[in-house]
Amino acid sequence: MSNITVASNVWINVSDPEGLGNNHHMASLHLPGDLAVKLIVGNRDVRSINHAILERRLTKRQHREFLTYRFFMPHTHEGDSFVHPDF
Amino acid sequence: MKDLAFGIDFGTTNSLLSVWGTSVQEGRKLPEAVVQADGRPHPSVVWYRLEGSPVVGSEARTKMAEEEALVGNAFFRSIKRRLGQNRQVDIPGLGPIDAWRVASEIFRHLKDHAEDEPVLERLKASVTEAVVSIPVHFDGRARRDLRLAMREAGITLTTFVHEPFAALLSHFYDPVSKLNALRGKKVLVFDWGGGTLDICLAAISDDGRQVIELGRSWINDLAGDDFDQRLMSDIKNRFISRERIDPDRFSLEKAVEGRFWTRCENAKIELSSEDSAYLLVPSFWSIAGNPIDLEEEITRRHFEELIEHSLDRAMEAVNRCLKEAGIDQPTLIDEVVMVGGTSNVPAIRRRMVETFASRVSVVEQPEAAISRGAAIVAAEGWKPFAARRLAVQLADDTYFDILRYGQPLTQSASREFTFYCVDPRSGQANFFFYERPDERSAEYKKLDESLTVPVISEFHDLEQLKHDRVVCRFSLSEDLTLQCSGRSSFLGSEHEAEISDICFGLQLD
Repeated sequence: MSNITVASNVWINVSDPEGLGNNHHMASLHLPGDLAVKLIVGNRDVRSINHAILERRLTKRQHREFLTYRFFMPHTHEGDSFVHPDF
Repeated sequence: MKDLAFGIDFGTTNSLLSVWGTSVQEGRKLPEAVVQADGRPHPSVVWYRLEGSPVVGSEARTKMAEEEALVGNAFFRSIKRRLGQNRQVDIPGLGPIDAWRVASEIFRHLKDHAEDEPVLERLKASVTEAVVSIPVHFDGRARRDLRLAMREAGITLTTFVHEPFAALLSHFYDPVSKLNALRGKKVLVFDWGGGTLDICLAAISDDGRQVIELGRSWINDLAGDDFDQRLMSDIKNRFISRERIDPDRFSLEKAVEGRFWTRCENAKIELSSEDSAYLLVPSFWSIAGNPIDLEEEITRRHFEELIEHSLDRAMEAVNRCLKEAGIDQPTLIDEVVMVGGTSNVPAIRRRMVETFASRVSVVEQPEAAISRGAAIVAAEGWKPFAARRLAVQLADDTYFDILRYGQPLTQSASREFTFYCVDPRSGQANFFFYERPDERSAEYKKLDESLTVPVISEFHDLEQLKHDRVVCRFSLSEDLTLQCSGRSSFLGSEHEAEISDICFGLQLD
């Protein structure tokens, strides 16, 4: 069991706050885990994807978030979470 | 330092304009505080008559007692309490007008009265700009109303200074050494006026160049005016009991009530220096057509019993202020300054001395202290700076500073930043604002204000992040509020929020 507080859904590159550079790739590292997985697997069943691939393509944080039940908690909400039964 | 500068204390009960500058220092006999002929500040009372321009000050206060009940008259006292609430008031013959327009009459009166002073007249000096003092809890909306009121009266508001800071300056300022004597010290300012109790713990930086606020507390519904009401209620009850009047049938005419209030206020002031006060209201009541006068003697001891609970609440507010500043021992406070008319009540002075011992001092001319402090700020040209960092919380649980500690609060400080909404599924990018109360700690405190910007909710690929950025602009207004606006680069429409409670200090150079 763990607690998740999802507070903010915005990100900025603090070393380039005016956004003159190509920052969207860096921003993508801060997508929530479940959304990042959705982009990786597309329409396929998530259970058909090798778990090792996900682990490689996600950041540690995204992977941890994916493993916890974030699906039912929209941003700005708080609540208890538990490990996804499929993993 | 300027030759001549003006500071205004716009008070709930009384208002005052002070002058300061090298003209004052050179001993040109310029009146330091421009007060009424009777040595008292101007009552913040505005009287709208059926005909003619509004009357302000002592005359309005006196007439309120006699003519409030007459058709066509409208009297306003404590208009300061209505600022910043988008409130309108009804004026016979004029209809509803904004509360700040009523306040503008008080500023106009202060300006006219000051300019009529012989010395100012000789110097051909006019009050075209001034620094105005504000309570610590006055937010951006109230500050905006104040600016509008002053502008309407022909005075440009150059900057704001917190009332406790102004009181502190008034007490400790030296034209040569400024605040050097207070370097590195903590000063508690206890400001109890007619309308509110404001308490502020201020710290002077080690180099003596900055005054910042470490903690604050206030009580909006407890001050000198409330003591008047308590005294009135007690005396009424005694009168009803003595004359065997049915309490349900006892109702004073407005004119009598007004006279009664004035007498009670005078008695309260007298009790600050005397052990008892005598109160007489002729024709207070009538029985079977025979007028009965009200005659009462009030002792200081009885008055202090009446206000004992209020004194307890005031001391609780002092403790709250210390707690907010993380001070657990009153001995850690170097100086305590008492200011405001209600600070003259001996019982509250005793309570403060019990807590802070000999470090307590009462400002000379407490009624004029705040306007004098504001005039010093005006003459020195001192400006406010951001006393707390202000930041946006980011998705990785870090913070991005939009206002840095020590940043001058000038209007030119407007910046634009590019954010990314990393979870747009709700269709909105949420900006939550935080402040950092203590620079020595990494802890941030969430503010009530937030900014929500609609974005595209369907998320198909990473390219969307590239195309739907959220561009935000943060700019400081002249009322020391932070205007925040944001727009999705794809959707376009702009959304706004205002952070009206920026914590600011005073830069002394």
